[in-house]
This record gives sequence, C-alpha cells and structure tokens, in this order.
Amino acid sequence: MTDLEKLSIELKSQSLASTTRRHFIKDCALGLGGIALSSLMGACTSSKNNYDPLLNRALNPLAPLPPPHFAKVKSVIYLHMVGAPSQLEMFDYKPELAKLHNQPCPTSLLNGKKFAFIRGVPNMLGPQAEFEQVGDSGNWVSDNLPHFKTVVDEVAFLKAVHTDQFNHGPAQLLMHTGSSRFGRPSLGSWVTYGLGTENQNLPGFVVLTSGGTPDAGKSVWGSGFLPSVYQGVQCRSKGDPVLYLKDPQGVSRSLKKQVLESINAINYKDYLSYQDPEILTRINQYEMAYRMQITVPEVMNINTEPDYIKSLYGVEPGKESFANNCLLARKMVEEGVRFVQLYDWGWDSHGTDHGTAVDLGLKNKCRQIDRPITALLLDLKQRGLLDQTLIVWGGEFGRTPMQETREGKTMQYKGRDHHGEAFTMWLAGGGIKKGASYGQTDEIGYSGVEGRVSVHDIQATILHLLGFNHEEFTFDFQGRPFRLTDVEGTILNQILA
Amino acid sequence: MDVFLDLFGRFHPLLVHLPIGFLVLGIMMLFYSRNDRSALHHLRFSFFWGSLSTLLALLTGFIQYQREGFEWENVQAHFITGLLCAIIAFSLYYVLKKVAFPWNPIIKILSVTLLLLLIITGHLGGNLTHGNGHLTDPLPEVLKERLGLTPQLNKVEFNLDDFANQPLYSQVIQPLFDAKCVSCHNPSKNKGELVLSNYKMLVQGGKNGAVLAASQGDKSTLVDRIFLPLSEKKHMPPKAKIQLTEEEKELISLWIKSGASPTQVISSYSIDERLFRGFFPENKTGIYPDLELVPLSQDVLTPLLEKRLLVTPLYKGSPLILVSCVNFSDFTDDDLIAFESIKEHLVALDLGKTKVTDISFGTLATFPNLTTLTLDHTKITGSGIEKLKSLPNLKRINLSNSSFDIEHLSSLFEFSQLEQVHLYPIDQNENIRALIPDSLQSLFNLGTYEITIKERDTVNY
Repeated sequence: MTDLEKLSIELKSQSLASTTRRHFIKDCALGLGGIALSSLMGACTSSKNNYDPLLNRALNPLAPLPPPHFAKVKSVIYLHMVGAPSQLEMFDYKPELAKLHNQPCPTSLLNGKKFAFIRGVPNMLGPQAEFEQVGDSGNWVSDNLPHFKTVVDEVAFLKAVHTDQFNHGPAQLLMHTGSSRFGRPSLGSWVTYGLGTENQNLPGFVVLTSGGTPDAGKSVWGSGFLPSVYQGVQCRSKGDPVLYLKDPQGVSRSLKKQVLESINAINYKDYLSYQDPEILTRINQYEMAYRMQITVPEVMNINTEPDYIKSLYGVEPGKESFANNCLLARKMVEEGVRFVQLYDWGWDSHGTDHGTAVDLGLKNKCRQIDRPITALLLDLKQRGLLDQTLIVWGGEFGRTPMQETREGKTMQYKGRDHHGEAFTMWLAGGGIKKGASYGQTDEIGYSGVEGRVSVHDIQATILHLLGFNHEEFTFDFQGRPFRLTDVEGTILNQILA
Repeated sequence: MDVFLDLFGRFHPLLVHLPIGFLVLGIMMLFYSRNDRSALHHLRFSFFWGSLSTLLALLTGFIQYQREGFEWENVQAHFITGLLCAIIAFSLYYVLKKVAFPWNPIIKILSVTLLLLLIITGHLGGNLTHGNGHLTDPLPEVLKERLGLTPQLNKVEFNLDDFANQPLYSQVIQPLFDAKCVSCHNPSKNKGELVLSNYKMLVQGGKNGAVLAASQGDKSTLVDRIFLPLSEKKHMPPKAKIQLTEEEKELISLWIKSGASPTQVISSYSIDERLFRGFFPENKTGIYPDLELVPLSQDVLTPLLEKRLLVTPLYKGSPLILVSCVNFSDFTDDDLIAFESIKEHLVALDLGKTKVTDISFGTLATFPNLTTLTLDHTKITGSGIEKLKSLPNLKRINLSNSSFDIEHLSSLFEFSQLEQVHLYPIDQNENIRALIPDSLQSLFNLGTYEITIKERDTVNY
C-alpha cells in the first residue's frame, strides 16, 4: 500500500469517526429546510445567469463594467518621472530668472519656508536650457526636448501645479493615492475597481519601471483598502515579465493544465455543495493565471515589433529602458489593458554630482524620454488609439528657482532643490484640449500666480475623463465612504476639449 | 419682554403636540362611544382642552414666525390650516355643549374634517422643521422617480434657447444658491441669520449686516468668503459641503459687482461664455447618436456574453451598446449574425484581430447606428466596403494593420458622415495623399510617422 492510499484511508475513517448521530439528525432537519428554501428561492432568481463567468463581476473582480457617466477615454498611460523633473529646464520659461542668475535669493522668498536641503541664503539659478515657442499653440519647450517640440500641439500643459509635500515618498503617495500617508488605493487601483478591464488574459493595471522603484515603494501602485486584485501588477522588461508566472522546473504546461483542471474540478464540487461564489472566483483566478502565462510573455515581447516601430521609439531590446516601456505601454493599451503606469527613475537633480546636474545629467534624462514619448504619442495616433487613451506626464513636485546649497555651501554642480509650490505637468489624448496651456507662475517660477492646480484637481480630471464623478466614486471603509480626491478636487475644464 | 416672547415662541414645537393628543383622543372617544350619553361629559372635557391648547399653539407659532426670520410664503399654509384647526375645534366644543346626544351629522363631519386638518397641519409643520423632503427622502429611488420627486440637486442646467434674454439672477444666481447654499441658509435653519432663498432676504443680509454691499464692489462679504482658501474657517460653503466651482464663484462675484440686479438679463453683462459652459446639459453620448431606445434586457445580452463577447453599455443605463471581440479572437463572419438582436443599439464595434473578412460588410451594413468600426489587424481588403456608405452614423473606421487595398480607397470618399479613417501602415513609396480629394485630406490618417535624428540624440552630457 502506498503512502498516498494510507493517507486517503486515514482521512476517510477520520471523517466517518467524527460524524455522529447528531450530525445525521441535524442534516435531516436542515436538509429538509434547505430543500424547501431552495425551491422558494429558485423562483426568485433567473436561471439564465450562468453565462461565462469571465464577464460576470460577481465571479470575476476584473470583469469590465460600464462607466457611471459618459467616458471620453477607456485607458490611461501615466508617465511618472520619479525624483521630480525640473520644470525650469523643460517647459516653464523664465527669462527674468536668467537676469537674476547668481544673485542672492530675496529673504522674502525664504522666510517661513521649508526646503529639503537648502540652508542659508542660496543664489538664484537661471534656466540651464534654451527655450523656444513651438507649434501652432506657441507653447514654450526647451532644447532639451527637440522631438517633443514636434508634437507639442497634442498636449495640454498645467503650468502651476502645486503640492504640499516636499519629500519624494509622501509626494509620490499624494500624487498617486490622493493622500501623503500609506493605506489609500492608487489611481490605477481605483480605475480598475470601477471599470474592470477588457482583456481577460492580461492584468488590468500594469506597472513598468525603469531605473528603479519609486521612493514610496510599491504602495504607489498598491490597492490600499480595495480588494488586492486591484493592485498594480509589475511587469519587468528584463527576465520573467511577471514574477512567479513561469511553470516550475520539470513541470510541463500540459501537466500544469491537468493539475489546474483537477483542482478546479474539486473546487467546483465544493461549489455545488456550498454554493459559495467565492469558490467560483478562485477557480476563475487559477484560470486567469493560466491564460496569462501565455499572453503576458507575448505582449511583453518587443522583438516581434517591426523595425520601423523599434527605431521610432528607439528601443533597446533585452534592456530595461523607458523607451522599451513606452512601446510596451502602447502594446498593452492596444490589447485592452485599462491602466498602464510607467515610472522612470533618476530625475532628482540636486546637483550633487554630474548625473544630477541640471546642465548635464538632466539633459541625458531628457534625451532618454524625448524620443520615446514623442513616438508613443505618434504611434497611438496612427493606430487610432490616441482618442481613447489619456496620457499623463509629470513628477511628484517641481524644483526651486534657486541653486541648491546643501548645508549652506555652494556646490560644484548646478542643481535645484525640491519645490512643491509650482511645477509643470501635461496631459494628452482623448477629451484633452490640444495645445492648451493653463496656469502661470510668477516671473521667477517660484509660485503659481494664476490657474493654480492641486494634485486632487488632476485626479478629479482623470476620473472625469474615464466617466466617473469623483465625488460619487467612493468605497466604504472603516465606517465611512472614501474617495480618491478626499474632500477636494475640481475638474479642470480649462484643458478639456 | 423680548426674551420672554422669544422663549415663549420657541415652545411652539412642544406645545403643538398637546392639541394633537387631546383632539385625536376626543375624536377617538367620539367614534368609540357613539351615542353613549354618559360619554358627553368626557368628550367636552377633551375638546375644551384640545381647543384651548390649539389656541396656545397658534399663538406661539405666530410669535415664532414673527421673531425667527420665517417667511410668510413658507409658513402660510401651516398657519392657515392651524387656524382652521382652532376654529373647528372650538366649534366642535360649542356643538358638544349644546347637544344632548353626541352622535349627530354635524359632529361627525366636523370631527372627520378636524382629523384631516390636524394631519395636514402637522405634516406642514414637520416640513418646516425637518425640510421639505423629510418624508419622501427615504423612499426608494424608483418610487421617487415614479412620483416625479427626484430633484436635480446641486446641478443647475438650462437650455440653449433664449437663455441670454433671461435675468442672470433668476436663471443662474438663485439656482446656484439653491443648490449649494440654501441647505443651511434657509428660513428654518438660517445659519448666521443669513437666508439666501430669495432676493428680499438676500439683500437683508445676516447677523453681521448686508452681505451684498453691491455698490462697494469688492467689499461684499459674500464674495469675500466664497473666495477665501478652502483651509480658512470662514470659507463658504464649509469645507465638508459641496463647493462652488471656479466658474460659479466668478459668476456670483460678477453679478454682485455689477449691482446685484434681480432683473438684468444675461446678455447685457459681458460674461465670458466659458463661465456658462458647465450649466448646459452635458453632451452625454459624444460622437455617438443620442438615441431614444429602450435599454436591452439581460436576456438579449446573455447569449452574446456567453460567447465571450465584450458587450457594455456606453455608460450605466445608456441604451447604446459597445461591442469588442478582444476576448474572442476566433470571431468569424458567421458570428456577426449574433448581433442581429442588438443591431439598433450597436454603436461601436471592435473586430480588431479577429478572423473577419470582406464578406462581413454585407452584415455590417445592416447595423443602422454603427458609429465606430474597428477592423485593425484583420484580413479585410476593403472589397465591398461601399456597402457601408448607407450607414447614416458611421464616423470612424480603423483599418490600421489590416490588408486594406488602396484600390478601394475611393469608395470611402462617398461616405457622408465619415470623420476619421486610419490606414496605417502605408507604403511610403506610393503617394496616397495625391489620390485623396483636397476636401477630405483631414479625414485620413495615414500614420507611418517618422522621427528624424536630431543632433541632441547623439550627445552625451
């Protein structure tokens, strides 16, 4: 007798031993009641509800749902420059600041303010780039982004975004979860919770990183208090796209299929006796994981793209790069993924070394995103996807018009400190007014003087474009309804078409 | 004396329960004892105190109306029915004093009328203290809709026709106050003694005086406080309430600064059209036709869902249907027959990456409201695409990465409603732009964009 048979006999005898006369009587009584009840209830429910569980929200938490209101876009690509890109070297042209270059910062700008690193009285730092008005819109773009200049009429700028956080972690959390503290669901989680996702062979919320993980960690794509199926799935462009998705060594795909089928058959028997829909959900999850094993590596493979596309984006197959991620983002959206979140690391231009100098390293970072972002906009456009996709670009805050003086000392490289009072973001795609520019900063780009926009305003606008009323879209947790925009947020009609 | 009167008036909500109790008990006794003579004594007792307390309630009510900023138009129905109650209660008492037997027609009529009046008066009073909808609010939405009770809260909308000739105040400003201020600043709750429910009270101002101060422009307290930062304690509406939008704030401030006229029409102000945009009913269907169709029942959709077709309404409750085959890549021309049952409702059809061929145009031409048609990555060559010409709503055709043959391009020139055609990728050697008439150039997106190499691409800093 094998061990397995012994075990199975032992299980059988134990379960028989633990069944007493009491159980029999209880089963009789409850059983009769159950039969009566089920015949009563049976009349109430439609027998026709057995369609494919894939598209049934009760069984599949990622099943697509219609938006509550008319939606201008159905998917989002969010490009986050981790570390906070310098608006003063990219989009916010300040000729006055150039005139004040190397002059001490007026103390009126410093009194009562807190900076991450600046101590003492820093000098002003003029723009370290050449600016030019481009396109029909005449919006300003620096020479750091020569390719982006050609598509500038596709985007709408927000020039005076502000945040109340001046450290990376909390500011990233605020930008993506609506709160600077841990525990809230991220934007992508809210969206997949509210709308599900179209392609049932792929995750609904995909995260792609280049250069490193954001300072706030994986909480920026976490599901907070929402069910954990709505958290972002990090796909890697190097190695396995999704960790733990590959079959274990020595297990073939057909064996895996048999295992899953047997487990699902047993689970289904359990479902028949308990009628608990959670069991069907679990069966569904196993099947989805199985389907994803095939589809995810397929979609994540950029080698199959034609050369024309590869050179358009400037991809480097086999490496982890922002260009690769932009191409992947387009592939995902084309396949019906709801929310694609990109993080590109290395924008924290403090000027502590060559790589973080605004006149050196920042230029290299700009080069790394310039072509891919331009290609992404053009590629979506030629495939007819730009009208139904929203693209958001930004960082967690901006950078100071003053040169950073770490510990009060003048530094060798030119850098800028964290600055939450005013920075630039842009949006493009469906429902966005092409070539718009909203908000203005003062003469030196220190703070917004017109059209100040909060992080919650941007979130409200993104939700609006996806067909949500951000004030109605709530989730009950700990005794009260929560929403992404908390008690704030105004839709930015100024940049909507 | 004032203090005493105020206090006395405030007893009204308490005292009103006395006549209700006494009189209802009297009426109950009357119907219970019918012609029992011996009950007459008790009946008189009950109606005596009932009538007297009605008078008391009436008095305190009147004092409260006079001293607590209520408005006549709001309380008049309650007051008149209350007065009638008092009159009938006294008459009943009078008749009961005269008769020898209580069970006579006059008494019967009077008592039934009194009972009804008591209920109505009580309800009207309840509306004053608890708000107009306090009985209807808890009803299920469906029932409310049937009764025509669903109020468009917090949303002010008006029609395009003739709005410019309406007064700004009645058309925009007051509805704004009604939607976002009046829940606190109304006659029964008058926070800060400010009532914003009509022009007269608005001009009167609150406990710190006038809020409009129209002649002084910027000095208006109301404008000051709505423009305070949200974090300020004095900001209005309070942080937790639904906020005025920037446009709404600007409109209110503009109205007050221009003299807060109750009659001046919208066209005589020079208002940026942008400020009004939010008030027009939203375009709820975008590029899709706004069709008055009955939404499809689940029974119709189930067979489609069983095939793993993605069938979703445009938005919750919309009859328009969007269909995608993203989870059903083995979809063939024969499967199109499944859409027969939803052909009126079908506005967007995504057949991308499926196995459909040119044969499908015949069936596709029978979907009258089809607005967007996506055929990317298919074997479609475009032969027979002219059959779709008759579709009155067809605006977008996506043929990117399909086998579309340029020889069928000219068929598309005759489509009347077409706004966008995607034909990427296009062989750069063929000059396709030259084939397209000038007037239609903007319709066709040929894609195949290129990004030239710039100097910066090669410099490493």
